[in-house]
Amino acid sequence: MRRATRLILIILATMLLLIGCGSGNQQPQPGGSTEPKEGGTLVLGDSWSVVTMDPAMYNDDGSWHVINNVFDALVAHNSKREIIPRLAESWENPDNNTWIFHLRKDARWQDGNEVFPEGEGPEVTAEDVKYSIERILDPATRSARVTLVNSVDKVEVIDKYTVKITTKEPDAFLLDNLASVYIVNKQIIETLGPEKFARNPIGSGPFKFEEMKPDDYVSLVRNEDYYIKPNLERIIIKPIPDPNALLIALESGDVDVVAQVPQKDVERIEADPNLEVMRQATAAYRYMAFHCENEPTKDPKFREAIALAIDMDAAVNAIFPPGMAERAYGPVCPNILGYDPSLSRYWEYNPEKALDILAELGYQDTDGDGYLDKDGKPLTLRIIAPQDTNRTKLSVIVATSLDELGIKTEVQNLEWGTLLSEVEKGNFDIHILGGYSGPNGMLFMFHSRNRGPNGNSSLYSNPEVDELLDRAIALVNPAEREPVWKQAQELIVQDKPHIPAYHEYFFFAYNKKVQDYYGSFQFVTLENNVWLSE
Amino acid sequence: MLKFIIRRLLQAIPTLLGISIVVFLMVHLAPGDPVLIMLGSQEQAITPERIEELREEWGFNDPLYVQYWRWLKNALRGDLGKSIYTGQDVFKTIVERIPATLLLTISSMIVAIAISLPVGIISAVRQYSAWDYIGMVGALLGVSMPAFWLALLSMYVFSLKLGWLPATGMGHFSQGLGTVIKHLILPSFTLGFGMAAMTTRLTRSSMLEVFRQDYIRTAKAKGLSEKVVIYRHALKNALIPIVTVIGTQFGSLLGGAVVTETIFAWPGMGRQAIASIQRRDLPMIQGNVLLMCLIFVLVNLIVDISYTWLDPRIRYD
Repeated sequence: MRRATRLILIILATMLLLIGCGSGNQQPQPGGSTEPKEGGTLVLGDSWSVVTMDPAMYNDDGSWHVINNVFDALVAHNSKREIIPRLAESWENPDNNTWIFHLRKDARWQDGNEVFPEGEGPEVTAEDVKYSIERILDPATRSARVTLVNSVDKVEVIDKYTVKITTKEPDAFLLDNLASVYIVNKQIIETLGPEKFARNPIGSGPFKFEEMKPDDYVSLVRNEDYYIKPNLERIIIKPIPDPNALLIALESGDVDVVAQVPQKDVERIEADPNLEVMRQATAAYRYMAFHCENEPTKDPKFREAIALAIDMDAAVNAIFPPGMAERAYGPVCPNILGYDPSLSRYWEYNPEKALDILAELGYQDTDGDGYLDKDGKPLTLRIIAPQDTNRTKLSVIVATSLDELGIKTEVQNLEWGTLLSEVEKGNFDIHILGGYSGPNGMLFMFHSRNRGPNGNSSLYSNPEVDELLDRAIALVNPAEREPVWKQAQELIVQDKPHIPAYHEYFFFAYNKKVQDYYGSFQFVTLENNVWLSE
Repeated sequence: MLKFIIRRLLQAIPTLLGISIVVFLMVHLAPGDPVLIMLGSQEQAITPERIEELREEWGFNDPLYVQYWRWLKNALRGDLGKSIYTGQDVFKTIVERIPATLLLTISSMIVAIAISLPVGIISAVRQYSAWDYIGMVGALLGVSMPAFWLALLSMYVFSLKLGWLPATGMGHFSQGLGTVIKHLILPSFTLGFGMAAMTTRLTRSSMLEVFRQDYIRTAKAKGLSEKVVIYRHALKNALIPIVTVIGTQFGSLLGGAVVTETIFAWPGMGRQAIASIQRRDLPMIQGNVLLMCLIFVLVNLIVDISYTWLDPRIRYD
């Protein structure tokens, strides 16, 4: 017995000692040279798996992270989300419906594969651009990307390196959309067949697809013939769905870069001397949306009363550590054209005023039970929200605030699929949702033609807003578009189909050996070429 | 024996059929629409007409029995359909992942047996000793600890702090068997530990019961050494309930693999199952459950056959 106890104690002590030593091993690395080094493998830990690698078919982040490195698009977004040249060296739009792109003359299709033997990769030409866009538009392709190029009327080849895109009506967002329209080659797709192409893609991007083991890893290898020679020799993308496991993999050095660090972990990761944390340029817009066609939330007055009852500043401060999110006053996110913090003037916290408005609308506590009622019926609101931590907290704060005011609430935090179905069926008074509100975000969140669970989920409709949004799409020049866009936003904020909650930032974290990296899934652009210092 | 195997395999058909109906109904009656989920990440809005069009295209508007019959007809021809999310062949997608899941579950089982048999036997032989208490406290811990917690804890200690083992992934056989084994240790230990706990307790009680039998007293009276009594006389007789439980536990291992695979990013069927449930990818869910059940049925058949080796009195003809 004594021997056994001693043995166990010794084992435990050794383990503790080793754990202690382990944490002591993490020393800051010596400062690397600033001269870019070639070679090395970068391991990207991703939250998502790859679904397809066919650029016309993908509709998910995991696939995009691979496609964006294997294929080239005409243009790209830089770290500030500005448009920069990629396959197109330059472009012009002589009128609002015409876009002419001048392609680089040194871009080639990847070789050393079953379609193009080594050294025989042909040039990327205007024909390829025409084929790629027409392939997406062809109903037979059943492309998931069709909405990106819906406005395109025709694509014409002017010469080998010049392509002209004509739109049906002016489309201010075409250029932004084209950053996600990847150029493919007809011969490659016809030789491989669409199914094989989706699993063994050949593109003209900075990295060649090497190998994939589903749900385990995808490996990409440097395309030596790319017009900017990539510094990295290889990229391995590993899907790790559990966020805790993903961070452990980063901290233990199994992976070099991860996207989507949970906000609660940002501080801990920042404290690690080997790691660097970077905030994504754009934020995601989160909101509470009212059912704009059902009683009682269809009345803008009623919506105003609810907005007055919620102390959103306090809510955002309670949900997030400082710097992780910004209070939202309108649907347009920081860094996106039309962002307007002055809209804060439309939002205040004033429960007394809320009660006055509700009383005007006939809601009063007539039976003395502490809750408002009208025509003998208590006022009850059904709130549905997703199950992620932040929005669960928001739903609880909202429900508590409304309860304090005397409004009964029924809160349900639903699994994603169930939530979307409930929104579609209209089984809610208030739903909490959110998403990436990009340059054209307002168009699909508030235009009446986009009413439905995947767009204008509050079923909001205001002809004046529709008209402004339509006008804005036609204004290709951002300087002309901005005031119209802002005007639409202001009208929306006055109508309050949404109570904007916050713009949530996401964080990339990466090992300090990763250099010239600005927190994206693109490792070689005209502005950066990622390399490893060790 | 052959007749028995054939009979058992035929009996599996109604089981699988029943399961496919239950799963089909569960997925359809649960809220959530695969079309909405699939379109959810679109960067631009999709019109309600397009949503309706897609539903029609995939036959979601047909009555349930029509949809089930269509699926069954194809399944009987060996065609489990295509994933509505990825468009890939369901059978091919799942079969690709079976080896990873089997590798994980079988090694977890080996871990479980390697822990539970010796600990259970020692606990029984040295009943009420310190070893017995340590073993039983360990078993209690094993039963009580949720797999996801043990997974994260072991990752924290062995990957992050000690740096001995990789935190996630499976490694590849082309990188050498050692790499795969290194990747396998944490997930199989995590998954096997819970099962070991239960089997340890069972081994202990089963052994204690056998120790009270007359033939053990006889064996001891004959002057046989303790080793021979324990291993040849007691253990073999105590094994039948243990093997039965190990067989049924295989099912929970397959189920437990769902959690373990997700945390350790193990590229197996469990992770695929979770993803397809979240996406309401009906053909993929059906295919996954069906193949998991088939594996389970086969493992139980093997367990039944093993009885004849453990106890020659059992005959299946």
